[in-house]
Amino acid sequence: MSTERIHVELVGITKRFGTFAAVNDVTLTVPEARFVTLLGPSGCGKTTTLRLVAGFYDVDEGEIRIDGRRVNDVPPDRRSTAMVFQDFALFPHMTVFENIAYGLRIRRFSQANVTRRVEGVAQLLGLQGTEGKSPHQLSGGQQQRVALARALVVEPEVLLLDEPLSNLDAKFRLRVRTEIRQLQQQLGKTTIYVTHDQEEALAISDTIAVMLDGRIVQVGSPFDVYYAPASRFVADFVGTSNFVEGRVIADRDTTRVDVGGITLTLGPRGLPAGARALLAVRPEAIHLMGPDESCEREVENYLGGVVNARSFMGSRVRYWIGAGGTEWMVDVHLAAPSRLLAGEVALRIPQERIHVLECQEK
Amino acid sequence: MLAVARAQVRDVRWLVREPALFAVLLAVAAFLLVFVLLPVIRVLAVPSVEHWMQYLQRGAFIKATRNSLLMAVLSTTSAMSVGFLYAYALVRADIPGKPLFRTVALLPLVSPPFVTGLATILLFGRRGLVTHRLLGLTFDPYGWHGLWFAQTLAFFPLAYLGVAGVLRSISPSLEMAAHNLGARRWAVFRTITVPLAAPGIASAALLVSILILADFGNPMVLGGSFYVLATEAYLQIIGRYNTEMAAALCTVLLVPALGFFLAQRYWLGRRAYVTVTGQPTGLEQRRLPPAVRWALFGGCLVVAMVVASIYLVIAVGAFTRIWGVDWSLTLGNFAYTLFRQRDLYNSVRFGLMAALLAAAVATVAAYLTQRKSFPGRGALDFLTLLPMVLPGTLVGIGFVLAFNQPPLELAGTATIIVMAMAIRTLPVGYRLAVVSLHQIEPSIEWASRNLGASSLRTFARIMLPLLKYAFVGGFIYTFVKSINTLSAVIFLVTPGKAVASASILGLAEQGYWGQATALAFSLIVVALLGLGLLRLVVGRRVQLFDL
Repeated sequence: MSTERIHVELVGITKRFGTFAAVNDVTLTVPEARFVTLLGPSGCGKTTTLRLVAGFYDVDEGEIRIDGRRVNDVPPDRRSTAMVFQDFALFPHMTVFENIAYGLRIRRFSQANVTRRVEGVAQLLGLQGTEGKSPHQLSGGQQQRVALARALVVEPEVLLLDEPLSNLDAKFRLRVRTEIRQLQQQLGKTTIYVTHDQEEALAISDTIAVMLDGRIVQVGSPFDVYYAPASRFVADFVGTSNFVEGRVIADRDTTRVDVGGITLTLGPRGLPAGARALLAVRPEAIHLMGPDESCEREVENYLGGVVNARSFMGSRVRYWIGAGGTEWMVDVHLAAPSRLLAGEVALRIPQERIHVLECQEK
Repeated sequence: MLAVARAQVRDVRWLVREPALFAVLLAVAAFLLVFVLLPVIRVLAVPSVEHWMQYLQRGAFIKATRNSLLMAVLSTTSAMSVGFLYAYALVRADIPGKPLFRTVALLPLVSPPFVTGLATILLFGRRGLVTHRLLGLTFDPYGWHGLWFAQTLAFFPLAYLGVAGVLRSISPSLEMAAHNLGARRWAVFRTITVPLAAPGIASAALLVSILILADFGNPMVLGGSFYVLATEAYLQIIGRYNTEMAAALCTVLLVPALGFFLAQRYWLGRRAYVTVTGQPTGLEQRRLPPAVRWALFGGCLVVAMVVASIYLVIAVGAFTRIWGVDWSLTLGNFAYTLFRQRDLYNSVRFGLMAALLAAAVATVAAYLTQRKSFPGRGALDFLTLLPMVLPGTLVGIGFVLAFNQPPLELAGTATIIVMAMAIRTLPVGYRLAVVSLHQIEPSIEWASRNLGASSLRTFARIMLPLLKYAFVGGFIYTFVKSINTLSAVIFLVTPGKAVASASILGLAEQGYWGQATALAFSLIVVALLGLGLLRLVVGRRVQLFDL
């Protein structure tokens, strides 16, 4: 891990529009050939961060380094950070070929060289046959590929992708994101990707940086971000969670939390007694049992409850279960329609699936 | 075949079901046929072969044609250059004083078009403030050079508006994408900005050129012996009572105008560049280097100062006893124009009536063409927009020809003047209404119908309130343009029905500079009051003159 070369480095960068800090003291390192995603809700500063890396905005504070070199004052045309724009930004007065060739012509490549490279990248992205067309004659997916080809053909140091899938329809998006990931791995291209779609971020990234209000609130692998969210915001934004708050009860070497009437056992966690703890449990982590399923009442974190509502979602069913004074979301993979539950049920929450988000001593 | 016929029947079924709306449609169609198409047809029909032979043989006519073309080419080039500088500076450069620059560019658009000519004489004429008083020169501004100067100033704001619109429509992300791929500023300007703007700028240049080609006021005031087609046509009618020859000359003006109009309709119909961009990106243009920024600022400042001096001269002239002779201040000019003559009062009265009529017809026509299907919908759209390119001289002569005998004997009435005014600005009100309609989801109308309102009631209760800003915009625009218009109404005014713009011309021709400028000054004040009222009523919801 430690031998990885750091390719792009953001050191405490801040960007203000008027008095509003769109990006606020952001620090992030992007190792070479890695796929790093900036994930967050709209207005969190992720696109601004990307534009700062591309040089469209000047940073107010901090430093951006590419290959260890400070690039704060390098204009966008000298940065070698080709971007795929959200709206693709294809030049409408040029053909597909001319669009892709643009960066090469600016770099004064020979005509033969331009043709060879454009053909190469067109083949890589399955754009053969569209070269003579005008961008508006292409489908959204094709336009997206042209934008990607145009960025890749100049062999940038860093590839920047600004919500490149948001203008594609949902079904197509899944396929293209897999292709982008495969291409990135095949070319070993250092990539920074911006999205507000948590599922997309989980599927595509080596590292996710979750942003909120101009700051990075968590950096980690998709697994870290999903299973060990750093805050309630992350747990809620990435996937769905049940949140419960309670008081820590120290009980020999195991930690228990009293959440208003019921007590959840967490196993050995070493939390201080009397502290207030915020717990998160993913809906798919909870076991749901029908009244007929006999179960030892002595088992830990066993709660009797009632089905308040349920919703069939294709591959799974989501239940809202009232138990222990809280409403729990529980996802169950359904074997057969006859297994749909109603009325009285029971929940079991495995202790290792309970995540402690916050713990504050009184 | 049967399916097509059935679809057509289905399309027009509302005509039967909504007789009131059908009647409105017929009224609008009749209005357009009588007041737009008929005058044009009359002008085209009047000249005989003999007149056309005369046109081709008489040196004066050939010369007027050549002069018109020369003036159009020279003034379009200079007006577009100044307009581009102005637009690029105001849209792209971060320079101080933008609101002031915008306001200055507005003045020529809301004042009588020949004001720049009038001021040119006052500044550079035989008794001019600059030439005679300051420099002691005897300089003659009459002729092509003075006219060129005046037309450049009169038409650069239109060029500026056109170019500014084009520059704004270029998505910043396109230029950013080019930078991102390694292109420097100049390369981006050359390979992205200019090619993207070129079609729009060419279109703006063509529009400016046909308006200059057909312009009447400034050539009349400043041309001297430099006759152009519009002034030659005027002389044929006023001096020789040769309406047929005047109509022939107007027809010559109509050809390029109509050509442009048809080409533009075709062009827009199959637009070459569909912008491929999705939602607005919030990306801003890159800042220009200081040297470029300040050069642009300097250019704008010079232009703005020249324009400002023009209007300053008009204001000063209005309060001066006898320009060039007796520089003492007086209110006498206003006493004459405001109280002894009814011209200004007539202008305002006719302007208000024209404004109401034009705004109403434009709004209803827009609703019909955008939301209803009926045979001849394309023709209705065409006729509503056509006046945009009709030379004012042609409208004036056409009205004289079409309405001088029963059943439509309107000559000498206020009606004919109001109609001419209303026709000329119809396209702007129509466009405003069409744009507004595009922003109103059809489902709003369906909801009203669904709840039981008739088509007419839906229009009155739902659409009209939603279109009120477009209506007010069209109203004010027509008012401002109507009180200033000269070329069409000059053929229609009679002693009892004189309007200010025509009177200014008469006063200027006789050298009554004080009274001419006082009247022009009053018109400008009225126009600015009208625009102020617009801002007060609708705020920034309607954009007129890029304010």
